[in-house]
Amino acid sequence: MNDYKTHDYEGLIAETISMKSSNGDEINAYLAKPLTEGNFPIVVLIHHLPGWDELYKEFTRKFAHHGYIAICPDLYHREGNGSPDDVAAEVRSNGGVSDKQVIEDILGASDYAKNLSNSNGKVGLFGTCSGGRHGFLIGCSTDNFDAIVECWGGNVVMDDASITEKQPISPHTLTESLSSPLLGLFGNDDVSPTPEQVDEHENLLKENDKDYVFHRYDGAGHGFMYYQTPLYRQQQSLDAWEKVFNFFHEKLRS
Amino acid sequence: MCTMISEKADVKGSGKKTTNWIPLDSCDIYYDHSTYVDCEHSITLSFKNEMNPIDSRITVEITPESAKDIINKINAALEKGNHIS
Repeated sequence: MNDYKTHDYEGLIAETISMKSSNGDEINAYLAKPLTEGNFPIVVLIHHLPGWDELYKEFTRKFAHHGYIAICPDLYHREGNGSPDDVAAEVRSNGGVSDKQVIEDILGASDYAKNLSNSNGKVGLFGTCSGGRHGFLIGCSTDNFDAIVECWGGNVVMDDASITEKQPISPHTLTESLSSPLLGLFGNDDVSPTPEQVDEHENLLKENDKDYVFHRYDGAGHGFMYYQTPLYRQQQSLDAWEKVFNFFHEKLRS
Repeated sequence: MCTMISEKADVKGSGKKTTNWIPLDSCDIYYDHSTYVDCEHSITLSFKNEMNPIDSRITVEITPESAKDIINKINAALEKGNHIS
């Protein structure tokens, strides 16, 4: 966790920036970074299906407050501009964004942050909901990341009926290729992913001897860290945030 | 993750934004975690005009029970209306 004392100077800058996806497209991102001296690890945030919204900008600033360069690209940038929930509704109406494009955008965000002068070069991924799924998928599709936090990533285990042109592969089938330590956080009352799907996800990680830790909370379902929704569960959320920061501290600052 | 359970209806109608009415030609209907209403999952009806599919949206979020009740009441109103038309 953040080990600052009350007499320490604190400062951060948080702003919208323009960055290049690895496919060359210019998209927007929200960047937050400490103003203090130092070499900081990077966290790339993968926003959830409801969009590039206020919650994810708060999460981005939260990581900066804890001493990370945090960057959250707008994965829906190409769909148009408007209020985040209206843009997300349009994305949903169009069947979501493609996995390929998300991977390219996240790689672009990672490269942007690595090129900042106060980066230590280590990069973690943090995603919830569809972003949790994307985090795991990216960890299996690239070797660019040093730690991944997957929060309640549904459709990591996809059935054949869920496969689409935009989501052509069930991420769990790629487990053998996972290239990064993984922290998974799940609620046992969730229906996507169900506890049985989390079991299958975990069994594959075990079989492939991957470096992972899963925490599965009773009394919590999907989105239990979303304080602005009825899904919020205070105690489970506080514990989960502590685990996130401890995990990133261990993997990105050593 | 959130569901991708989404349906789309063709609509010929209009809806009221803050002060004025606009034409609507489509409605996205989806079942997902609620944004505001106090229940785990909700039905969202997001009406729009395809010419301006983001800013034109008029959206309501209701519980699944409310959605079923509205379906029944719409059918009842349609049936009564058929008797007088």
